[in-house]
Amino acid sequence: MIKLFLILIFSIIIISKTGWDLPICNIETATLAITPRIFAEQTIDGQNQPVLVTRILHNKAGIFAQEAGRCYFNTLDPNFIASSTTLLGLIFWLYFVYRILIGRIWHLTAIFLLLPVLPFFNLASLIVVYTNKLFAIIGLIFLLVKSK
Amino acid sequence: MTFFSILGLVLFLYSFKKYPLFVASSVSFGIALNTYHGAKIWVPLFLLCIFYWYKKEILSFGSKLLFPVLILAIFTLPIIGNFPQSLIRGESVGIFQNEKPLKTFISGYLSHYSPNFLFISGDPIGRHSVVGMGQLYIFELPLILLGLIALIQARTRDTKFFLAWLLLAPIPSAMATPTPHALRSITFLPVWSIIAAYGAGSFAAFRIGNRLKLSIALIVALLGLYNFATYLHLYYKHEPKLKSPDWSDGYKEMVSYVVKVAKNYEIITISNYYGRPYVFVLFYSEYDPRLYQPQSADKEKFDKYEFFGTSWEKKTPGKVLVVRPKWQIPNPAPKYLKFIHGTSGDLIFRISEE
Repeated sequence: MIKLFLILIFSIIIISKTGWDLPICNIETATLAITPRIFAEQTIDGQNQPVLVTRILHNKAGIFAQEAGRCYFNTLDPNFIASSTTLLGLIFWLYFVYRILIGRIWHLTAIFLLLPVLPFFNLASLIVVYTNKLFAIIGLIFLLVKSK
Repeated sequence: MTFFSILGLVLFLYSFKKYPLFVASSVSFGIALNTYHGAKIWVPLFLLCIFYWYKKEILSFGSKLLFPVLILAIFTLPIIGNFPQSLIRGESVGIFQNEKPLKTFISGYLSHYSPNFLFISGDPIGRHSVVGMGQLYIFELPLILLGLIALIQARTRDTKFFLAWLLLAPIPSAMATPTPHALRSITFLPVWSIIAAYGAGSFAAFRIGNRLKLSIALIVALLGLYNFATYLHLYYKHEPKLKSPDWSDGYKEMVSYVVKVAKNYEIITISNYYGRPYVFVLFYSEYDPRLYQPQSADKEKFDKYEFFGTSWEKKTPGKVLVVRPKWQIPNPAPKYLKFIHGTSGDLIFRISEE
């Protein structure tokens, strides 16, 4: 009964937490970054560098991957998770990640890893915030059930 | 700080049956304590962490503990004997000037675990990271993830110690601003490498086909090579062109010119945009320390030199030599005497007479 009460209280706190801020970062911003970055980087490299070296080190695929990585990691930033779930929620969230990895719960791991991709494709960015809240609550349940 | 902390740890771990190494370890930690401001927080924290996990071995030395403790106490004397001065840097960058120090501490602490800081962008301060790269290589990411899982699963005393190290490392940096700060959290670096190596080790022990294992290892190795080549290119080719002002490029040329014409001006005012110009003026002008020390309390001016923040306005009569950063262009335009360019050819300072 106490555990249920704790889950309820913490869930309300986590769900009602507002004030999160996710930077605008998606497929458009990543695409827009390619041309100016290639221009800037090729200008720095200068005329004397072999074209092949420039192409290997500064290419569209690499820059796009870096920008996409930046967008993906924005949603996994501990400060963003803490701002969307509270500091305690972050701890529960980390416990959730620990449990799904240790317990080899692959379907949850797959959801966890694929969800940050949604904002990148402009698909329901808010879903990341609410699934973080959900993961934190599941983490709390894992924690309380474990301490039975 | 990092070298002597790690040396101290290694000597300590080898000292369980060799007492002289335990003494050497305390000397190393004592030196580490006096190397950097962050060490005043880091070394005691690290020693507490070592004591917590290895207290059985430490206490087994019995009365022999007294000598290493005495050595450590001696190494604290320069800090204790000079306490107000040793706090100056901490006070100027510390979080306790902020309105909400606890909130600042927590967000600063968490920022050091940001994947973007670690793998994509790095520290925004130009001297602390290579432009276009994170603090760690991308190829380390899967190894670190594997290593973390393996460390947590192993649950031995050593693995718990490494996890504690991982959690403690950003504390000195989080006590100050700005964050994340790669230099103040540099004690992070060895533990990330250890975790990545542990991850590689645990991958080698995976029960998967040798061919698949070799293929994955090859892909990670190729990615590592590509990351390393990119790092060298960015460090040697891009960094000097993009980040030279972060390394105080242009100060030498600017001060040389200013000193040459100083006698013609009543006041010389220099922007502090690129950080602490008084240090460079004193150094490059070879200003006599005996003359400077009586005026050293005020870092905003000495002799005929004054240092200003975001903008400067003339308030007193007389000829003034003004040194502004490249982006500060007053309206109407003053009489420019000299433009100082960095090694990359970019404009850094505009020197004018007003």
